[in-house]
Amino acid sequence: MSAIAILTGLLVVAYFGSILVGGRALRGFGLPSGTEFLLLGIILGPMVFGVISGATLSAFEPLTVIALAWIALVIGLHFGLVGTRRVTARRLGVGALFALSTMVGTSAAAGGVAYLLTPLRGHDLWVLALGAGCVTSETTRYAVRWVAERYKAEGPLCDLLGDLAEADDIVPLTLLGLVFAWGDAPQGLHITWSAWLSFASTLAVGGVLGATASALSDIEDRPNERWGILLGTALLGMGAAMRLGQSAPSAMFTMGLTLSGLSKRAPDLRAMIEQTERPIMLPVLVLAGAQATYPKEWAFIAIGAAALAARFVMKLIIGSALRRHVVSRYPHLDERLGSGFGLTLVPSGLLSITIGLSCALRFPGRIGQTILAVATVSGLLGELIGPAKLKRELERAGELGEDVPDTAPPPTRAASIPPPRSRLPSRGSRRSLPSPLRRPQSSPEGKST
Amino acid sequence: MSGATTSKSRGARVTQAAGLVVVFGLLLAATRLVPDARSVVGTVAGLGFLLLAGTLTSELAETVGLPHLSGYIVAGLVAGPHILHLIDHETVERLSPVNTLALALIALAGGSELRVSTLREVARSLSWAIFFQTLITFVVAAVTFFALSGFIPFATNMSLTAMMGVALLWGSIAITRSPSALLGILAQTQAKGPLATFSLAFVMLSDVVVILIVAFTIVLVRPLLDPGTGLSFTDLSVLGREIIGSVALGTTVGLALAGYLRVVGGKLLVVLLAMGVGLSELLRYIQFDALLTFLVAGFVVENMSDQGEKLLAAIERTGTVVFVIFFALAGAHLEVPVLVKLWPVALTLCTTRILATLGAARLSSHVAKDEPTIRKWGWSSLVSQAGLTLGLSLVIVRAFPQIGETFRSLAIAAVGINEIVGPILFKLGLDRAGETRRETVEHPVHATSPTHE
Repeated sequence: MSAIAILTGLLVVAYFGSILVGGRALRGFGLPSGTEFLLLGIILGPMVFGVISGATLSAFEPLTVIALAWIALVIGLHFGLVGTRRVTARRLGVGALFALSTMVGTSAAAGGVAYLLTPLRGHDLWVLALGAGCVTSETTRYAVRWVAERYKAEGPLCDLLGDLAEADDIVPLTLLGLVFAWGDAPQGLHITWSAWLSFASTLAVGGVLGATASALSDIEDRPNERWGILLGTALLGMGAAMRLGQSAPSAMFTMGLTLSGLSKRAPDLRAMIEQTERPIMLPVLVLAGAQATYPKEWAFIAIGAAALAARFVMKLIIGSALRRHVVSRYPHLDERLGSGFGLTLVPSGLLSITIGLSCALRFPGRIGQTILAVATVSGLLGELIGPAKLKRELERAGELGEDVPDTAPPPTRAASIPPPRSRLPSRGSRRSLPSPLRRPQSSPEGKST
Repeated sequence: MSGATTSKSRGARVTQAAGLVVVFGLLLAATRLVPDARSVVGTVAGLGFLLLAGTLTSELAETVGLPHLSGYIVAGLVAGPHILHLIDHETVERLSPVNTLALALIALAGGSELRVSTLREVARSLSWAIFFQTLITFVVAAVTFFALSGFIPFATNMSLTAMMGVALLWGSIAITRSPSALLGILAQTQAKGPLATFSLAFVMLSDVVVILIVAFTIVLVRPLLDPGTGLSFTDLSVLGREIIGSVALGTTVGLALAGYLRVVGGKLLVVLLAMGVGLSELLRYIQFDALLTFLVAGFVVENMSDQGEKLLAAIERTGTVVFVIFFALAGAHLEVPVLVKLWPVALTLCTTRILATLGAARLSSHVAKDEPTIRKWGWSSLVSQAGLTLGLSLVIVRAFPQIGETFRSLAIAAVGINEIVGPILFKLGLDRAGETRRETVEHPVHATSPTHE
């Protein structure tokens, strides 16, 4: 199939993605993390029907890289915000710590198995271990938002899980820069620098461009010109980072964070950019699915399995700690919340896929394949377990809406695409629901009142 | 294409200049640290650089009264393969799909700007202008080329008849104009008035005339350049099919687009991108003229439905980014060595073309009894040349390989000069005619508004 035909096809997918985000689609359609598009990509890709060939995927590499880094920019620009509510610094710290713990656990498992079963050593081993850690560390914010929207959930537990899912994005996106820095330096690089210096320069590129975009956006009143500035800065940053062998998503995430922190027009920029998230996300998932070619050696399959198992173990441990924290504040929930609370944290999605695909493109071969495979399998497993568990726990905590029929289909088979942040019902517009944890109102900072 | 002109404070200009330094500095550092990057990397960085540097340079060019278009071109030229080498040849080639998309959008916008009622108003002026401009510019350009043949490398050894043939081909190239440059200036200045209306109608209609004249010239010139061959109307037959097919398909696309705008009306960015990329590729495959097809489609949407303004607004939104890259890319594409080598001949050819255009404009205005604005400044929009000229020069070189790449190089050199001078002259004309609107930052005109309401 020709590149133009595929591109047009991807634009059609993007079109439907933008319709879904535009609120035209019926609620109750799609899966929380867009796994159906991932599966579509797998089916169309070289592994199954081969409609999208390896050559076509190579031709689309620039677009894929741009899309992946753009998603990171969107995440960076929105980091620390759930809708219009700002996540508290404490929760940001706790969320990042949880992600870091998971990452350490899965990296250790993947790295250990790789050390035992393969001849990988040195930088290659670090890349594989850290890459596997990056793709398994997050809990997708889409799953929490999806359950909240689908079942009209509201309450402190829902907020807490949403905040933690939001906060953990910073760990994999930043440390992906380190993974890339451990990789081979680009051909023809005129200077030699250490992995740490390369990592620091990744963040510096993002920071400088974020500050530049912020200064230029602040003096520009015309929305179309602001689009040009944002897009131009982002593309330049992606290109410069890739040229230097750095992680474009990490640079873009830093750029988004800087822009969000410095620009007076940050809310306008967020409103502008969030419309692009879904239309870009769906083609990326299709391309990621098509790109996924799973390693055939048993050793690498074992590495992937170890990383996934470690992820579940770490999430269960973290979930247990989280449960204790919730129960300490609300003792009557001790009997309500079920065991295996950590399973509410297992859904992973777009961010993991983004990181997995970035690694697959940067490290072609078994290492990249394994990391992407871990990301896709983690997404699929998380989809099967996470949303259902999340719904059950929120139901036990009394945070689900009272008008949701008991016969509501399980979330993995009939659900709605979560709305973008701005489309989440404002807290004031949600109906008051009976819950032992229900607060009368929430302050804009998310603190209980 | 930028929205309306704005007046910014000194501090804002300093910030933009500093931003431009950062942008150039970052890419310079990256290209010097890793000179031989993979092409994909160069493409992504190049795309962002052209967009950002083009936007910032155009804003700074505004402070000295230059049109945004000149800023885009200068940014591309400086960063291009012949000066700083921040953007290499391969990147320029790989970004060519942007040109396809931009030309589709330009043609769609151009067609949407052509209202039947407006055409009726300026029909008399337009008819005389097209007649005199075509005739006089064609003849003067051909005669000048013939006179300068002794200084043109490939022409020195040609027979007299062959030289006449090449001169006629040059004449046909000389009557091409630049719809993209015209629309770029109109979008930036938000100009309204007789000069803007006349220029728009003239340049869009002259596109069709030019395509026909080039095809006729190729048919007529063939026996002069290939003595063994007689007059063959095969080219005309192909052209006829191409034009009729393009008009028919353009009408269908226009009706479909109007229907979509009426029924759905949203997600136009994606629809325009898919059309610009997908349909252009299809048109190339079936050998229809993309410019004409999209021009007709835009014309149909404007005149056979009430969706014209919606389409224009969508193109304006999409085009903001695409057109900056398109013109900056045109700057990067400029063959500076060729320009340096052939500048005396190219400059003479361009000067006589401008004088011929001026003379023809005065004559046609006198005959058509145009109002003073058009009489004085009507010629100013007709100097720019860009993509269409280069495209047609390529068609000519393919039809007559014996005249070689030097003919095309000369065309490129002439286009280089006209591309830089033309937009400046047109903006000057619009300013002097009092048709431009200067907007302040306190009352910004959002570029989402249609170019002409």
